[in-house]
Amino acid sequence: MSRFVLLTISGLADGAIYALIALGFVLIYKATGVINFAQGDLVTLGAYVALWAYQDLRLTLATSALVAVLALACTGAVLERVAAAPLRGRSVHVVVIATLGAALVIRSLVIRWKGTSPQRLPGFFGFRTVEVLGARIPMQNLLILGAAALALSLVALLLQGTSFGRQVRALATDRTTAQLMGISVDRLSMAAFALAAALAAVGAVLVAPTQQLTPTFGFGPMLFAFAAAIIGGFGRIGGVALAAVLLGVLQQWATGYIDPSYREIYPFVLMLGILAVRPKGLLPEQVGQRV
Amino acid sequence: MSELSVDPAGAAGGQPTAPATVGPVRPPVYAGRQGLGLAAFAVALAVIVVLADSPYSQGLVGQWATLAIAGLGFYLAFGVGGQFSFCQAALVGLGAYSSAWLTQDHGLPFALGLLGAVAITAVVAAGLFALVKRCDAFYFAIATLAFGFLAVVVFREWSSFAGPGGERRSLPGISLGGDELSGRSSAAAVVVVLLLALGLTLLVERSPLNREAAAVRHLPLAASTFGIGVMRIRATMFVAGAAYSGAAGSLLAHRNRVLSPEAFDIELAIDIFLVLLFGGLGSAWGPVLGAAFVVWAPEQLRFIGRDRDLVFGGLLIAIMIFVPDGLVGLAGRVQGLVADRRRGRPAEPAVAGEA
Amino acid sequence: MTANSRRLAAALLALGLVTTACSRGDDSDADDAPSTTVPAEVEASKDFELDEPVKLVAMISDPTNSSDGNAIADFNDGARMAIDEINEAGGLGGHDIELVTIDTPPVGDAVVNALNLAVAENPTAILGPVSSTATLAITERVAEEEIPLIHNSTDPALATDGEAGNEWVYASRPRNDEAASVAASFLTDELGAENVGLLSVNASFGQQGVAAAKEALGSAAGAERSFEYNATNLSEPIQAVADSDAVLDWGTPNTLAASVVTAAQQGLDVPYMGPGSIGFASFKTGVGDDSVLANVYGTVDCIPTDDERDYVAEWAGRFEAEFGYTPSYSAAELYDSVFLLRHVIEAAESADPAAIRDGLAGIEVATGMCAVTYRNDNGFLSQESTVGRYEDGEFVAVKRYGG
Repeated sequence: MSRFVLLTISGLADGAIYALIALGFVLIYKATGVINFAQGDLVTLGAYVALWAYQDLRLTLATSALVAVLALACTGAVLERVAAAPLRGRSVHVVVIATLGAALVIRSLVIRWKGTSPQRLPGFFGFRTVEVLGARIPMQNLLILGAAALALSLVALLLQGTSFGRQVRALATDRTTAQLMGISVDRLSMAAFALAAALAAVGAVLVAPTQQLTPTFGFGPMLFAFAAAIIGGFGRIGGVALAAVLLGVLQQWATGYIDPSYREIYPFVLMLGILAVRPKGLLPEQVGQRV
Repeated sequence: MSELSVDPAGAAGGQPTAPATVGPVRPPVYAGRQGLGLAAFAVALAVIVVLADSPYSQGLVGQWATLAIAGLGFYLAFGVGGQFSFCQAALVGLGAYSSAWLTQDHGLPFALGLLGAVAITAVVAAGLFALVKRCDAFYFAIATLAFGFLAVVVFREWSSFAGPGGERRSLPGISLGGDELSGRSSAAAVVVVLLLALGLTLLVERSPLNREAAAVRHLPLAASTFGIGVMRIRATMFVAGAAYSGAAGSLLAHRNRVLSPEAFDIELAIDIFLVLLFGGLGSAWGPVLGAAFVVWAPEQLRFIGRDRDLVFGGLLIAIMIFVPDGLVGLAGRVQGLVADRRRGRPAEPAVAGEA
Repeated sequence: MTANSRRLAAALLALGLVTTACSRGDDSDADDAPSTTVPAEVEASKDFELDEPVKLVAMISDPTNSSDGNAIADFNDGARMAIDEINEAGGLGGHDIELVTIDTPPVGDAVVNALNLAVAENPTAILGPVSSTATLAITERVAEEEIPLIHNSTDPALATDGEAGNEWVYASRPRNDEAASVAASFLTDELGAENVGLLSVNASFGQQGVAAAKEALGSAAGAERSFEYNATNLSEPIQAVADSDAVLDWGTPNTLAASVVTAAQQGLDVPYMGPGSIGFASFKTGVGDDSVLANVYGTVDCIPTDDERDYVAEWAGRFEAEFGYTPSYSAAELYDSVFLLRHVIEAAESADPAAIRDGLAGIEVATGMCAVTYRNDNGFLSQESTVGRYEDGEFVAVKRYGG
């Protein structure tokens, strides 16, 4: 029983992180139509900025997290200016490749800055665990669940209740009309990228204490987040978040009960299986297509 | 190519201008002298192979040709078929391991290993396509990305096919009629396969298949109303691209004679992209040029060491912004400029009353 | 901002990145090292003449010649130090020894390119590679080209009678399975463990280690788990070995750190034994908390900074004075490899490849900084390991085996 609890809570925590990352690029997609392949490397950058603030600037963990979020928000805006804005209106593959290029650049800069030796960002609760139904759960996992839920709800509120949110939804629904209605695509794109990067930083700061911090740290979760977003249909925030959490749990169960060697591929097998039957995902909305 | 002169004022009652002589109208692709180009290229290749006198340069020539074949495969799948896929590297790996398995475990000669690799890769690709064919562009891309990861893990775990941990050593080299080729002749063999692959691709470019594929790429809905089998064309191009990748994998396996699953991960996939990007998406010559750059540049730029990713990432962005057509597109643009200069100004619509 | 000025800005940014990268490329860090003020203690070479200078090619990446993020400077710095000291004492055979380093990634086409470049240099001998996969990939060619090779892999397949080894290929390190045996014996003999949990990466390195450990442990072998080399979440494997009174983890630097931290999180406080990378600084920073290291042991080739032999401590001091960091066993082994080559070249008074090959094959007693005694045993020149542990954040020696 305790094994089941451990696996399930680990899975929920993993899924929460995937949801935060997925939310980031779904947001960018809705606002700009761009698929941001640099999202994983933004996560990595966020963790390293937090580490730098904590180790070199000697700030507290909470302040370091805040510094990371703000720094990433700026980075997101810069990324938009360099890799997305000049290519607006070009075909999908061009922008994808540009964001891939940006990912490589970010990764290289991180390597130059901090080297590739694994580092560790401490968590709020250190190594403390709490006993839940017989299983020792690291308290960091519970923090991940709580903080991610909070972040997701805030973003949902943002999209539903604010002017920014309304504009994003308008752009996502019908780009041309929205532009004709006077929505500033430039400003909205920058804001979307900045917000997505900030979310990446939040995810990074939450998950980094549970793992080794290396320059490819964010890439793996990003791929699983893609799988989750696709399974969820890439449309509704709630759908994507739910898919992400489910994916995390299923992945942990499969790793624990079937075969740990294949941990990395369970999400993809699931995704391929679902795509074979439901090519648009489970709760679909239109993804960019020229007809 | 002769042009009809357009006379907008003709209908309004001026003197009708005599039309210029009209020959048979041929689409642009036939205007290029592909056959001559291929022959000239073959000669150039022969010269290169003769000049490569150290194992290092022979190795580079072989790598270039192999990567060019893989790039041609990606060109067929993406440039012609319009399907952006991340799985080319994994398919190269599949070809490599298949060929290794057939030759090392089952004692087949290299030629059969190569054909077997092509066949196995094509079948697996067909299966993958069948699984995700109804997906649109982005989902398809991510599905192929997933396949890429799956493949590497399978290579690592399936010992009876890929060797323990995916490691295979002491593979037989490229052989012809029982004699193992080495050094220069091995590089020459790979170059010959490249020529065949390129010739085949040029044939495809000249064929009606290419026109239909262009329609499928740009206007799938309209194309299907014309009776063009959209799914059929996409599948054909995807599988053909996979077959090329399988061949490239087999050549890679028997040139390097060792295999490791990490050699087929996303780094190779990015390299294959770069081949097509640098060279240009619009023509079969693109991968040939692009592969030369991707193989040659890191070796020349060893001094940039740690910053290789930085430079390549920056180049990717710069290329996407300025030269999305790649080297071939650039060449095409330059050629177009030169041709315009030589012809004088392009024919303008005649104005009524002036001859 | 207009479309054109956006493009210009992007272009400038890309250009800036490219020039930054290109301008930082340099070719040797020896120029940056402070000159040593500690006198060299190396004896001059035997007095004989060679027609050509001895040229050593190191197929080893370091941060200055490679884009591989994992490349460390230790290996090449160790080789450089040896060569510099020999040259300062008069060179070898009447000439200075030359060193060329070549970036050698662990897999792919680039390994073949590196080997081709190495061969094109006409080396007297090749040092490295460092990774097992690269070494395994080149042994056949090395034998064809008849170039002696001293590499840094521990894979038993590289034994002279192993499936990838041959008479031209020698390791400056002990075999992986022997080291794992030593590790297991330490746990049972010195720490009295009776139920040892066995963790490993599912690559050949880990599997070889666990197989050897199981043999050495006999009935003391406990629960077993393996995971991928880039695994990040090890809670399940740690839970599986929760009942052990000691854990032997034959993993890679990343998984080892994750494993130790997870064990601490789960409250598993038993002796923890890992392979050589436990001694590396990267393991320590990967764990990030010295208090967690209290019960962590590692079976390394040697610990130059904590060796009972005075001359080793002196050597470590010289190394630190020249390069600015403390040497690991890798640096010591490369240093020793150069001296082993000098040893056999002097004995044969010749740099002929076959003579070097035979000389290496016949090494019976040769001293070094890392191993006390080097001796050829089926292609592995060292049979010694040292078990160390972390005390107050320092990795110190506990027991030496072999030698």
